[in-house]
Amino acid sequence: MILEIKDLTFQFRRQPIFNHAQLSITQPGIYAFVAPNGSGKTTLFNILSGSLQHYQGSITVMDAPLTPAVVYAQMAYMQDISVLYPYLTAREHLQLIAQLHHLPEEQILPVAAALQVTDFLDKRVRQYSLGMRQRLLVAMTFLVDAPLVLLDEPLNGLDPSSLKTVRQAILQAGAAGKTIIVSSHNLDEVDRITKEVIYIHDHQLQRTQLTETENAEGLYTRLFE
Amino acid sequence: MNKILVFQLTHKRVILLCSVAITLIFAFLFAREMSNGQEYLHTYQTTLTKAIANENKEKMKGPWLERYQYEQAQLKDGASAYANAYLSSLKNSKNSGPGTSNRSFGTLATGTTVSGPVFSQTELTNSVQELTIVTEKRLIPFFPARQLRDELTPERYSGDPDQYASIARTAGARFYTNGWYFIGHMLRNNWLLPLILVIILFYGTAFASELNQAHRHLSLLTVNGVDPHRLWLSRFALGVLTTAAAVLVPVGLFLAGSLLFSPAGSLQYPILLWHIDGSETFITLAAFLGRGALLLFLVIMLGFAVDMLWSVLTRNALLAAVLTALTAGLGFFIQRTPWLPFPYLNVGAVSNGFALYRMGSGSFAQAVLVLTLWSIVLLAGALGLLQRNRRYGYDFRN
Ligand SMILES: Nc1ncnc2c1ncn2[C@@H]1O[C@H](COP(=O)(O)OP(=O)(O)O)[C@@H](O)[C@H]1O
Ligand SMILES: [Mg+2]
Repeated sequence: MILEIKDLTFQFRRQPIFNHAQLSITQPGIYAFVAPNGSGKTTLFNILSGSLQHYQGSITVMDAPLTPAVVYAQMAYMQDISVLYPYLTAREHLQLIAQLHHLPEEQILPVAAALQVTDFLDKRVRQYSLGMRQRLLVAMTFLVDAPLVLLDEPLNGLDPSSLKTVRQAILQAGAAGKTIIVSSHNLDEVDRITKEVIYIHDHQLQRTQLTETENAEGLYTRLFE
Repeated sequence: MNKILVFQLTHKRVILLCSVAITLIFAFLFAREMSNGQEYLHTYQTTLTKAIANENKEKMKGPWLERYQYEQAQLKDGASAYANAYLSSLKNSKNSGPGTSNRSFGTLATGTTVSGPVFSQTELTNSVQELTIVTEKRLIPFFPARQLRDELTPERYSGDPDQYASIARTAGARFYTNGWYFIGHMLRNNWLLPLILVIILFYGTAFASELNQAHRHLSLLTVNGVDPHRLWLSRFALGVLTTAAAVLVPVGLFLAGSLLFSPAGSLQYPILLWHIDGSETFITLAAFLGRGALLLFLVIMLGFAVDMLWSVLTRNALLAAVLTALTAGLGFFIQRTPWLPFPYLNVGAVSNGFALYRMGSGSFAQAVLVLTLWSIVLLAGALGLLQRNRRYGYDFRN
């Protein structure tokens, strides 16, 4: 079992986000995570990564209960651009991650190249466009080389060629046997990377596999509009 | 984790700038002290020469001519000889008023008049005691030797108020032209405190900016295995040590540089220490500097603890810095509450006991205790709040 969420209940002060939600992922692969804004995608990622600790229910990752040690060993989580240090360069960010995970520095350049970060490796993040920041975040996430990868809206703000770069990185990681959960509003892109969809409906987590003829757009319209 | 801390340190150039500033300010003030001393000496010598010429012209037969000549000779013989002669002149005037011996200085230097000491008997006694220690232990004296004033000299002074400033400038002159003496002088006058505050304010932004909604660096770190409490504690320790080093290194550099111009001075030099009952005794300069250094270190610790707490509460680097500065500013107003840390921020006056005498209670040990306890309490409070907010992803809305 890669990920198992049982009876997850979580609320912010008065606002319920999850109500006895269940989810299990047994097979590696790419999973799209779609739901309208504010329904709790980021919240779920934050719970899974240990950033939010005030939930009820049980969560296991790789058959082990969720602890900081498990998060560190099994998970890589791409958060939004606000986590970046404006005054550090891409190289320094990647070095930071490498050091935190005790990885050799040689691993930095290939990942940077795969996400086309190389060109601005030694510029400060302050000077980056949104797309550059997103690519750096994806590079930092894939540098970790964890079996379970959470990507929170990695496709936001990307131009078509960046989209392709990130898509290929995701597909490659999927082919390499990782489990990748990607939240996105870009339903066309979702269709290009997977048929497996996780969504939030009525404070519940649902999973579905699109058939050959279905697409994410159709599912979304049916569920949320 | 070390890498983050080092990153942050190297990106806080302000620490380096403050160090450079401390070095430059010290060098500048020291140079000014030297030149003021030279100027004083020059003016004083001119006055003596003129007085001698005057006496000669008027062919006055009195003790004054010999005295002026005697003093002039002692001035030429240097600091120690002058201090010795000055001490006996003070003793003479103390025992029998001025004008009893020819081997005595004029009243301008000794700060005595026919009606008694120009400041008060206390200054005279203290000066005699100070110089007795200095000559007995053969310490490096101030040059030229003059009366020892203290915090209450202006209050004890009973002469013409308009005259005080000029009398203090002549009979109470003191030029800190030796490295250690100058450092003691800076410590007494709290010259380092504003720079320490600046370092804390700038370095402290590392705490708040990690919690800022716009810069949630801490989330990046926690999902990559960093324990936020260990990080903050390490950063706290590193901040305290870096700040201490940022002060110590420039002071050391200054001391080394000052040796090019004058000897360092004697760490055994007697410094006035106030007691709660208003009496005064002497401690060595080394002891005074030691007390000051310990207090400064504790104040740095307290400063970081305060900044950390404000950082957790506001999650805004600028706001935390402003509030920390305001908190420090409270020290000017809350001077008499011995269980609050504020009276003890006046490191110089606590080190020589004057602040405690003014407060009417407390001791150096109490100052150390109060500063330490407050640091621990605030630090624990900040880390506790951090823990509480961690459960909600460091978001205060919950
Ligand atoms: N720290 C927080 N405190 C209170 N409410 C929050 C907090 N974070 C998110 N929320 C609320 O929880 C809901 C879910 O947010 P989020 O998980 O970010 O949604 P999504 O990522 O799906 O757009 C939103 O309504 C949001 O306003
Ligand atoms: Mg979101």
